[in-house]
This record gives sequence, structure tokens and C-alpha cells, in this order.
Amino acid sequence: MYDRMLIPTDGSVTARKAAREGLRLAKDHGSRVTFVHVLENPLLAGYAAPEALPYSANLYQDLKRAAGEILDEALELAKEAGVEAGAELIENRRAADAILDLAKEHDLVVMGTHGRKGFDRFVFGSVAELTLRRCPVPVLVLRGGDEPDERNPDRPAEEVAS
Amino acid sequence: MSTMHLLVPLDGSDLSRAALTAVRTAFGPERARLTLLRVASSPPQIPSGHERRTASAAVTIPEPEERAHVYQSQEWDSARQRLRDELETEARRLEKDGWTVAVVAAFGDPAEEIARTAREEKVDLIAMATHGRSGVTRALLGSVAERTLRNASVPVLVVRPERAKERDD
Repeated sequence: MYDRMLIPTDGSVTARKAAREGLRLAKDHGSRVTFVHVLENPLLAGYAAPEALPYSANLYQDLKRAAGEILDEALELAKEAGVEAGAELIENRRAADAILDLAKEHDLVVMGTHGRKGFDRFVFGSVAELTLRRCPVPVLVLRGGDEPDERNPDRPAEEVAS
Repeated sequence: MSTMHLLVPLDGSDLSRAALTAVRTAFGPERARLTLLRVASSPPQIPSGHERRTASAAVTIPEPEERAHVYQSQEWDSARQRLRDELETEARRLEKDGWTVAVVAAFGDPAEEIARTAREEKVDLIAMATHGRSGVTRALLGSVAERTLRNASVPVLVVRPERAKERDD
């Protein structure tokens, strides 16, 4: 059984779909879920110090607020599903690294990839890909845009109502 | 919860069987049934129309070329049987624990056959192991698993067998 399930979320339609699917499984298994959102500081991607940019602090605060909302929404989903859940906001790390670290304390990772019709290596969710390559526990991968009852398989993920 | 139909591709290696271990952990026999799939590369190509020629070979003295077709057709059947036998052994083991198991043997490209079987058998989930070989970064995620992930329209449970990890963590 999966006692501890990790569900990374970036707030996207695909991630929400993965969260719902994961919660179904968690309910079934009586698992506890951890949602994780990783805030990769975009300002640290370059070499300029954040302080060098006039509104960097504001931008970061905005991102952080958005991250909080994403996690709150996920926790709300868990509550509706009747699944015990917690949330982690990880800052200033590469998403895949943070997920892999947390995965060590979990039995299963459930995540979505931004699947598109005819997608190639480039658009395969890089976070999912990096995680899959090194994850010490099983990963349940869900492709976006393929709702089980979706009758139109050619519809891109973005158009699927959440 | 209704019964889920799971597809577990096996390639005969212990590594691939890690997917079965994961499935046993994730689901019980009461909530899932399994289809085990074994894909092998095709035996030597049989020219189209071989069956007709095989039939005629029974009543005429076959040319050496035609005897080759008969031989190849038999090869094909016995290869399929061998694959099924391997799967049956695994299936019986699972059935002892209460699982409902079907077996499918196919020839061709593994990723394509996995996707095709998933479609035809209307499975709900594919569970497969990746060959976590170290050394070549791109090969860390087995190419069959990678291509299955790209093509599959159902969720894929990807398992990296513990023992396959070498020094890459």
C-alpha cells in the first residue's frame, strides 16, 4: 500500500488532473498526501543578484503568494476528497531536485506531463522527465489532455475544462 | 471502486518484473485485473501470401524456398508459444494470490506494441519498469518506457527497480 503519496503541483490544468487522480488513489489506499510546489526563483536563473532588479522583491512575493494559492487549492481538493493532506512550499531550488528529495520520504509520486498531440522531447514536461529518471519510488505519470471520458482525443490539453 | 485493468509489459528480465511488485503494492487482486504482455522482435520476415504457399507445399514437393516458408511459419508459432509459456508461469504465480490474469504475446517494436495492446485491451493503466542504467544520461529512462510515456493515452506507473540503480544517486 502507498501510505505516503507525493503530488507535485504547479497549478496547471495537467497538475490539477494529476492531483485529482492521485487523491482518488489516496482515498482508495488510505494514504496521506503531500502536495509540493517548488518556487524556482527566476531571478536566480541569471547571474544578477535579485537586489539589482528594482521590483524583484515584489515579483518574488507575487510568485510566492500565487504558490500559496495553488497549494491552498490543492488542500481544498484533498478536503473535498476526504484525504488527509499537507503542503510544502519549497523555495529557490530546482523543481526536480526538490521533488526527488521529498520523494525519498514517500511511497509514490503522482505527476502530470504537459502532453500534447505529437509532442516531442522538447515539450515533454522537463520536471517530470528529470524526476522519472532518478526517482527512487514509483512515479504515476498522467498525461494532460486525456480525460478518461474525453471523446475528442485531438483536443489539446489547454482546452480541456478543469 | 470498480476493477481497473492494468497492462504490465514484461521483457523476461528481473528488472521488468519490478513493475509487478509495484502493482502488487498499489492494487489488490480485488481491485485490479492484469494483462501481461511480452513483446519480442519478429522472427525472420515471412513474405506475404506465405500461408497459401504453405498449403500448396503440402501437396506438391516443395521447392527449398517454400520449405523455408513452412519452417519460418513454424518458427513464428513456436516463438509465440515460448513467449506465452513464459508469461503463463508468471500468470499462474499471480493467480495463486487471487489475481485475474490474461497474457498476450506480440511481435514488433515494444513501445508500439505496448501502446497498441493498451488501446485494444482498453486498459486503464500501464505499469512498467525502466532500465535505470547509469552511464548514458539519456538512457537512464529506458527508451521503451520513454516512448510509451509519450504515446500512451492512459496513466503510466513508472518503476525504477532499486537494484538497477548504480552510482547515479
